[in-house]
Amino acid sequence: MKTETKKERAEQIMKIPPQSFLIFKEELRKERLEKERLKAEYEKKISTLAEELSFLKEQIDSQQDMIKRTIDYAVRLENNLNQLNSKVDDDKKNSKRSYH
Amino acid sequence: MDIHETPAHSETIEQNLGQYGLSTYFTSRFADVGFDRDKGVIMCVLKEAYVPIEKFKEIFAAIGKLASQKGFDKFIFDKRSLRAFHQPSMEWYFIEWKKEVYSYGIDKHRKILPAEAWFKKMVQIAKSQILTDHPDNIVHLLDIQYCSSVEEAISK
Repeated sequence: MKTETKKERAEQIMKIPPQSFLIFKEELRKERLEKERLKAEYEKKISTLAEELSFLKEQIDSQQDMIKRTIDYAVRLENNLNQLNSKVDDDKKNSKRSYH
Repeated sequence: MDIHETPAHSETIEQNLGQYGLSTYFTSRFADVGFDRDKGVIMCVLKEAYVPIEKFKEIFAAIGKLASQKGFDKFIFDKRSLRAFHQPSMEWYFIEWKKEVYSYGIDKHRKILPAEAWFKKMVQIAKSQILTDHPDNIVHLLDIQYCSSVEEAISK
């Protein structure tokens, strides 16, 4: 049976990390996990915000489109009203002429 | 949000649909959908001021699936929460979706609009544009009526 020399024992002790290092390693692992959790949470929030922004953009586009259609409709009505007014004026003139 | 996801206030929603004798089909952020097989009614209540087209199509595809089970002839669409609508969504709903559910037997449409006169006028302008752009529409085959309450829509 091989007898452990002083040198070998010393080497064996050197291989065992000190307690403080183990604590540090554990803390580091926890920090990494926390960082990953925060990153996932942040990405989820950003994705939700991006979706909300896209909804809002679509809503604004739709509202602009509604305004455009309303104005087109009002312009058409105005043109029709002007044409009707002209026709009424013409009819009035014609009817006056017919009396004289 | 998935349309089948039930939000925290689902109890209130079920109570709301329940007061009209409707069973909940699904609830989502944008709409609650209920049905009454005995009366042959499906009702969709929109819950937001605006519904994005993608979500709108998801909701109506699901309603189409329910309608395809047959036995329904009336669809009530409560749009009172809306303050803006997307013309292409309305066009799709009016031309394609109504045609699809007509093939399943739904020929009565009851609509409840927001009380604001400007919104009603906007709907009228949009509808008239859609009918002009799509002369092959099936509106003449449908019984479409505007109502002021869910009770009126169910009884009419």
